[in-house]
Amino acid sequence: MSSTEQGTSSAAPAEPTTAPESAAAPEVPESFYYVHGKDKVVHKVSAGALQHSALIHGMISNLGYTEEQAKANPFPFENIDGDILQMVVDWCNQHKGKPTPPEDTNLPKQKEKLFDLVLAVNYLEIKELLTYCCKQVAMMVKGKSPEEIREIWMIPTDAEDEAAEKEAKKRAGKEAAGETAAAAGDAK
Amino acid sequence: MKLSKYPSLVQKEILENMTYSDLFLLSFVSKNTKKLIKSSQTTRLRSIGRIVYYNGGTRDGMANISVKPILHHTNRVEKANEFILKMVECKEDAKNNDSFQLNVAGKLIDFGICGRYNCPVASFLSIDKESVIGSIHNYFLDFFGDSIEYYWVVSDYKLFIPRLQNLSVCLSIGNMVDIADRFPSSPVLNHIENSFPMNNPFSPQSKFYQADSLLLILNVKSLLAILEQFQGRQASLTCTNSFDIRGLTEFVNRWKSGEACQKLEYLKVIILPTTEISWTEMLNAIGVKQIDETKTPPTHVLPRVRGWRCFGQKTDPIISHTYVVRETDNHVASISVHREIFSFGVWNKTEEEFLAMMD
Repeated sequence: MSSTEQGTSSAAPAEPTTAPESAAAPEVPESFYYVHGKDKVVHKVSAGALQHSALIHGMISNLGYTEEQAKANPFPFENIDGDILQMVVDWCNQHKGKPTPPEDTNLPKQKEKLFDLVLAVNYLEIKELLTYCCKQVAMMVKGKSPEEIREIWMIPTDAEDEAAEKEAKKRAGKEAAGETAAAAGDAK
Repeated sequence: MKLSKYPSLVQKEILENMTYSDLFLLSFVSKNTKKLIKSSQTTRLRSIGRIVYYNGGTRDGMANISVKPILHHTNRVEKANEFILKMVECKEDAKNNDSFQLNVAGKLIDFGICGRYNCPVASFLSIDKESVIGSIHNYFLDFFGDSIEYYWVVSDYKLFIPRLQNLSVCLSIGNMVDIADRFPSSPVLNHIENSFPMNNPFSPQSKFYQADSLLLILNVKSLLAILEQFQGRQASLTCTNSFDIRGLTEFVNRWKSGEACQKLEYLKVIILPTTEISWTEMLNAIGVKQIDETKTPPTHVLPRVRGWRCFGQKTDPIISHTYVVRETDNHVASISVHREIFSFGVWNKTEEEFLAMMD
């Protein structure tokens, strides 16, 4: 588990504690990067652990940051809640340099947490973790009736879909009419 | 948790992790959800080779997707089938509190969830059986597509056979006693097989002779009747008592003259090992032709008709220098005789075309 401390929104975040290393110590000193979520808590993560995220891996591969530069420029993920980013960082640390197991039983059981985790993992492009999460989401409706599935995944009924579609059409019509009127006004 | 808030790739991945029975249930949630399944799972749905409905036997009422079994080195077989749903007849007062109704292709059907397989169970009264099965089949045709092969496998003596679009009927019965007589108005069957020797031939008017494929254990009398009257495409016949080889000679001569078995593609006859067989005598009697010994004969192999099973998808290959020619269209059949096995494979080629394959 990586430990963290409250950061600030300034460019120089508070000193974070170091994430634990995997058992085998690397021969070459490993480089570290810093990430924070919506709560600005900065997490120090090794480049090895970050390799799980195609998005971050792509961002850091050509940076060539020194330790100080990395610390001064944490990657901001403002669209990810702090506790969710913590889960992601923990997972990346736990699976650093290891083959991923066929199942992961440590994913959150609460619907909303899992929902946010899926969105974060999808955004960060962590393929294996996304697969685990999607499996877990799929398992939530295993052997459930259509009505139960609707409730769990909040799927609208046909009538609700139709009403929403009508509403969207109406809105689009109004917007188009507004644009036409504005264009006519401009022409005058 | 709103499924619709996920990006489409995530939705696709979630659906990919669902079983077919869960997708089936999900498709009833709304029209848009059904559309989403069909559009995001196109490849998966297209890869389904066959859907099998079992009637009778240990899988009575199951509808499943027959998938290729994964055989482990420990001989443990994994995933030979994926259940979609189970259909059961029930009594009027047998309603379950947990049941729910679904509108399946225009018919309201009671469903529950089977704890053992975690799959939906459709229950219905006996008088509704035909219409319920029809609605479920129509729903499958729409949901899974009509390019899939659908099989109705009958394994009990009640012989219930629904008449439905795109449905091949197979009969897999232990003992064939009197079956054909109790089955007078049967549709033309796709495949018939048994596991106990058949001691009485089907009646001469039986539609069983028109089945596309036969896999039978039978006595001499029944074997001769089939060799005489079979109108289907493929047959594998195992004779359980000593056999007069003239039955085969007559069969080949009738085939050559174009009188019999015009649709036949493949025939294999296994004769009791204790029977004394003079293959040379038989080959002389049917006037076989020989391919030049220096040439390698072509291999005759075909997809098997009995398609509801995933294994044994092809007929046993026939590689033989010996062949006969049908007089009516000059088409060729390779003949192989080996120990107690007689194999006959018809080519969709004239003698000239057949010989040209070896040039």
